[in-house]
Amino acid sequence: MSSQPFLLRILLKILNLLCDPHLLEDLEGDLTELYFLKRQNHPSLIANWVLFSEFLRMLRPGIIRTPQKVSLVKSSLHYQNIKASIRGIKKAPLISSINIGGLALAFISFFLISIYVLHEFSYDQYHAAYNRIYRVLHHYDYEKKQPSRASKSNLKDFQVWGNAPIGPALKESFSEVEFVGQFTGRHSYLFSVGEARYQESMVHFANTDLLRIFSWKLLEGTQQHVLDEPNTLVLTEDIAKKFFGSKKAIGKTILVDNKTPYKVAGILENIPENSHFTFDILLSMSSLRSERPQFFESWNYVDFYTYFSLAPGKSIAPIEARLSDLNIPDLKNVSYSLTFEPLSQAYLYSDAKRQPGDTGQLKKLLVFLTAGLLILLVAFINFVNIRIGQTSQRLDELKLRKYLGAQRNDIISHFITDTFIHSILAITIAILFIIVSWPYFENFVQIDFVPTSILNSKHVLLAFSFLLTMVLASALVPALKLLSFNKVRFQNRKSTGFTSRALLLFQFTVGAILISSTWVISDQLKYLITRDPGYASDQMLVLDFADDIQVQKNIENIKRAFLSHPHVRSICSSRTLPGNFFPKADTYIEAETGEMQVAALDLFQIDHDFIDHFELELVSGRNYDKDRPKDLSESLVINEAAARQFGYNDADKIIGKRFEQWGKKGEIVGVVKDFSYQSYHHKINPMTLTLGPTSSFSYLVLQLETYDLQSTLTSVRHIWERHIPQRPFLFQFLDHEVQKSYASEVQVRRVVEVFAVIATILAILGLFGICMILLVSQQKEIAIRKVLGARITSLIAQFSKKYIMLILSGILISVPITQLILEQWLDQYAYRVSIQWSSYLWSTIIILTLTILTITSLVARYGISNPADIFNRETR
Amino acid sequence: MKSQQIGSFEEVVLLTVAGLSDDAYGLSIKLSIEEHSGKNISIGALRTTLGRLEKKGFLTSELGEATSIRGGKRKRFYTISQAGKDMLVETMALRKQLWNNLPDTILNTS
Repeated sequence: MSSQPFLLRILLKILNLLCDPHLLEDLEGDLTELYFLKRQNHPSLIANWVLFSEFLRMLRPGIIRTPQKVSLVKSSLHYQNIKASIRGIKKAPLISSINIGGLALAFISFFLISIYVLHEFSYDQYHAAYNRIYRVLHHYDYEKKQPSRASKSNLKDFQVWGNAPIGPALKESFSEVEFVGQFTGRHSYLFSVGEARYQESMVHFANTDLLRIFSWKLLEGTQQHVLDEPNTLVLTEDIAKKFFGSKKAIGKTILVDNKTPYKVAGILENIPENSHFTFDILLSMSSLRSERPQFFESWNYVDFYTYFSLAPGKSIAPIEARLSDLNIPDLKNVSYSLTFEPLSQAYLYSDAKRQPGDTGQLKKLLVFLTAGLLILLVAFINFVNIRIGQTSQRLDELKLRKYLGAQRNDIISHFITDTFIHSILAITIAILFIIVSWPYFENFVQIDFVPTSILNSKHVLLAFSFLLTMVLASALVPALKLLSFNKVRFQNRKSTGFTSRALLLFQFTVGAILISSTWVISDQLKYLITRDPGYASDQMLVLDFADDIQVQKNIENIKRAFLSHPHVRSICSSRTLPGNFFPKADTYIEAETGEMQVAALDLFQIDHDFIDHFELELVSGRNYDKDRPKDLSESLVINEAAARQFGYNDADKIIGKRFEQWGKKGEIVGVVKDFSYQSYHHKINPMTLTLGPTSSFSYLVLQLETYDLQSTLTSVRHIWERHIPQRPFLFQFLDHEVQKSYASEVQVRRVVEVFAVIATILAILGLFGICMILLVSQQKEIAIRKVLGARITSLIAQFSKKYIMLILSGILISVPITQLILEQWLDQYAYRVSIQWSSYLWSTIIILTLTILTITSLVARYGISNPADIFNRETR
Repeated sequence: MKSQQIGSFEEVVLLTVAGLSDDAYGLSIKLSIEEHSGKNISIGALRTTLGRLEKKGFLTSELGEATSIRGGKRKRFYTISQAGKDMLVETMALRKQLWNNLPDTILNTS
């Protein structure tokens, strides 16, 4: 009987609050007894129901305590608290606006950061089978270092991009696997809809099961078989609109790459922005299979991404344990192994190479989140500091409250009310600001998403409980501090106490960290963008003909036609470009010992003009020669990194050594100096510059020499339209493309810059507030000093002294912390700057200047006033 | 005190308390009334009525022993006061008189 059921306990609690205390005891007893009485012969549901209805009927006048009986003192105290807070805000408008403005600024930063971070964490979670989807990671070890399976711990050796046969093999060997979805690497094709032509680059071949694994909604078409038949395709909503306007798209025929007609079999909703890979068009995998069946048999051919979902209730562990059940043939030259990665890891946590889309950076998010929290902390510290600072001014009020019999709790609740009112004002300002400035924010961090889709009640609750804790903490510190003063010993305290100083120190440490970081990050970015990549990249116009056969056949004539333009200095064609995607090729090269060694090297397929065109420096040997037709099949140019890979530290020695690659057999004829053909996140890898064949080319690169880009572009376009009328004119500038790969760094720099400014403003505001309060309470002292002959300069010096020391130590503390964080951040780059001491110097200069300016302006303001006025005011 | 009136529900409660003699407290009164009348009586309404009757001086109450079935809460036992008894007798007398005055024909026809 001692354990009361839940409902009863709750109802008695409520009764306790509502009921007239005189009636309480026997009513409680009656209710309890009634419940247990019913419980004897009825199920608990009925007993509960009887109890509940009885309780409801009890809520009537005569039972509920009358409003007059609510403690009069308490309610008026709350009201008084609110009134006193508002009066306080009005009385010291400057200090209050510093307080509220600072808090609002911090809330804005914190909210925006939270929204962004939540968005990054929300990737792929909209899939119904989110927790059951896995993907295959492949490992191809050409050096055969590990004859057994590569360890799962180092996923960096794995890549997402792999072979096709693994898909059917998975489905066959493991009954737990529900669907296996596969899609190819990204292709770029020309789509002809009637007369109109569109070059689309977000195109994959995919099978139907891919759409059954992922929860993208098929707006039109039959879910079960949409991509089953050869020569069918699925468009996303936007592309369907682009191709067909408002007309019905389904069932229509589209000519792909001027040769194969495809039928539109389905319309898919637009792929949500928070997906780890996206696409515009899916072609049916069976089309590729009927054209190139050998791709689907070969375990060596790499162009497929494989995802699979487990049947509900199954787990991945048993499959992983039975990996050997998979019937994988022994591959020549390469040891192949695989492992699985859950979808939840795909966007933020995956180390694997060759991802199907952009991945997020967890480190970046942590940097943002830390910065946001620090700013929030700085703002609340301001609040606490200014509150403590105002102690002397509020002592009278407090004394009165205590004498009137305010208890410890009353005073604490007064402070909490006060903090709440400030916070609510600040939050309101922040939310209004965010709503108004949202478009700018989207533009600023270069993302594009709807925040409502990720703001669920859980997050809001979390954010608010976090803020609540902060508010309570920042109310309690000054309240307890005040309470520690003895009633009798209330005295004017002239200097800021230990707490205030410690908090100020912390603020300036944070400010210094952020400012120095800004400098270092900017340095790194400048270094990345301006670093000589080792090839000519200025005014390089890239024209994309997407391996059009007619262009390839006629390439030399077309090149000549462009070259005849006076502003085109040089031209070349190739399969790929720096910063772009390139394949890997098994390459055999004779080692110094004379045996043939193999490695998978990055492959650039180029024409005769490529090396001269990009001004690549030949370290040794010669370029390809148009007068030697045998170069096409018997010569190879590699880079220094490749020479080193095969054990030749002296590039000269590799010239003349034998090689084999993709059916070619002959000698190494040249070695070029390493050039950065990927972004600087990566080291320069071993690569080969293979000559032709023209059938692999898809780009023309023109080096322009012009001041009037617009008219040159127009005339180049005319040449294109004359010679390649079947293709749309697609152009880009090489340096723009390369810079795009640093978008993430640009974003980090912007955010940290803004945060540095905000944190500094907040810290200075805090300093300003504290100094001002101190000065007000020290007016008399200043006046006396002035009467005795002190000059303003000496007053300023005397006043700044203690703060300068404090701030300098803050900066000093910031140095090792900044060093630690930034070294970590810089380590992700293959090419990085070292941290300059000038960064710390700059932050010191900025902070000190601002500090001195603040103090000077304040002291001047109070120092200039006539001492007599001050004495008069005091005595009045 | 002389002109104290009593409502019909109050009368029922007062009679039940008198009938239960030693064991009249909230729940027992409720159950007893429900048993006799077949109507559902809410504890809240009963308690206010009991309070009113006590205020009018027809009932007196005292707290009894705590029992575990009531979650350690004490019962409030009610006993009818002399004024209460007088009131009941008075009411009954009035009723009797009125009944006696009733012509036989009225009840027969209904």
